[in-house]
Amino acid sequence: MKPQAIFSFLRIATSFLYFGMIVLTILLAVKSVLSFLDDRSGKGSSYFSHEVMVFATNQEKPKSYVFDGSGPLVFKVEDDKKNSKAKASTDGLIKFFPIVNRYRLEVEPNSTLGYYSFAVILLNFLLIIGILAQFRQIFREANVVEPFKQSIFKRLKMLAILFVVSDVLKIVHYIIFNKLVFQQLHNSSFDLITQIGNGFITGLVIYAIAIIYQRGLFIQEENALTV
Amino acid sequence: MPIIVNLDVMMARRKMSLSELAEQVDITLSNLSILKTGKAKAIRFSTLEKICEVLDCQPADILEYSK
Repeated sequence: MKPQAIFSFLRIATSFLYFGMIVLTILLAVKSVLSFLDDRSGKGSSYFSHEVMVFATNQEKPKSYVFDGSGPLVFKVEDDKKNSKAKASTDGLIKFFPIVNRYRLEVEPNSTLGYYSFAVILLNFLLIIGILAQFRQIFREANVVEPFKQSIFKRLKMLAILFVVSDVLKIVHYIIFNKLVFQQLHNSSFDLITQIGNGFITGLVIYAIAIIYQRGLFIQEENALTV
Repeated sequence: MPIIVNLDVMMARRKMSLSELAEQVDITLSNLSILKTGKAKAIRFSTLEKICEVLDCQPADILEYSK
């Protein structure tokens, strides 16, 4: 496969994802706004879902928080003592365990946590759109004949910043979300399940590539001005 | 940059145009223009050799150092 063909494929793929994400974000925004406006949304129409985990063992079990139709939170209890035993494949080579103390926390849209969840999801979507926009522009501008361009270097740096920002937002989200849940449910020890670190590492790797790319840009310019 | 390119002076002395020199040295007109206007960052020995050969001069006639 020729390099130019790879660039073309990536350009089309990122454009497809970029516009897809824009449509998805608009749909999410419209759906959420309609949920906020709808008075009946508290009766199980649509919820924002979060994966949480309980680390404390001596505290009151979250099973006691049963949704009675008036509160903003619903718990779907996923762990069970019956299911917590290990199961194995017939040959005994593979064992599998259910994850205990893991819950799906569903938030009604018309609540503080609901508005917050909407804002976080929207921000994440916008970040993804921003990242895809940078990738799309990079693949549009990249070509084999003149591989190093100042604009691509700037976009690589912006990509690195966006990836790092996405991880910083995850940390902020983790702190705020846990505080909000604790305010709603006293004695609860729910912790949001989130993956932190990927964005930092990706951002740093992209930044390192950007620095090398800048050196390539300098050499290309110098070569162009050598007669 | 303290290196001054006196290519235009030598060309005037030899009554040679830029396109004529580019053709004889076998480099592009744009590259020769970069050299003449002092935008060039480096010059290859092979290019300098050809220019000196065509203009019948020494490298010091084309390049000059001034503080």
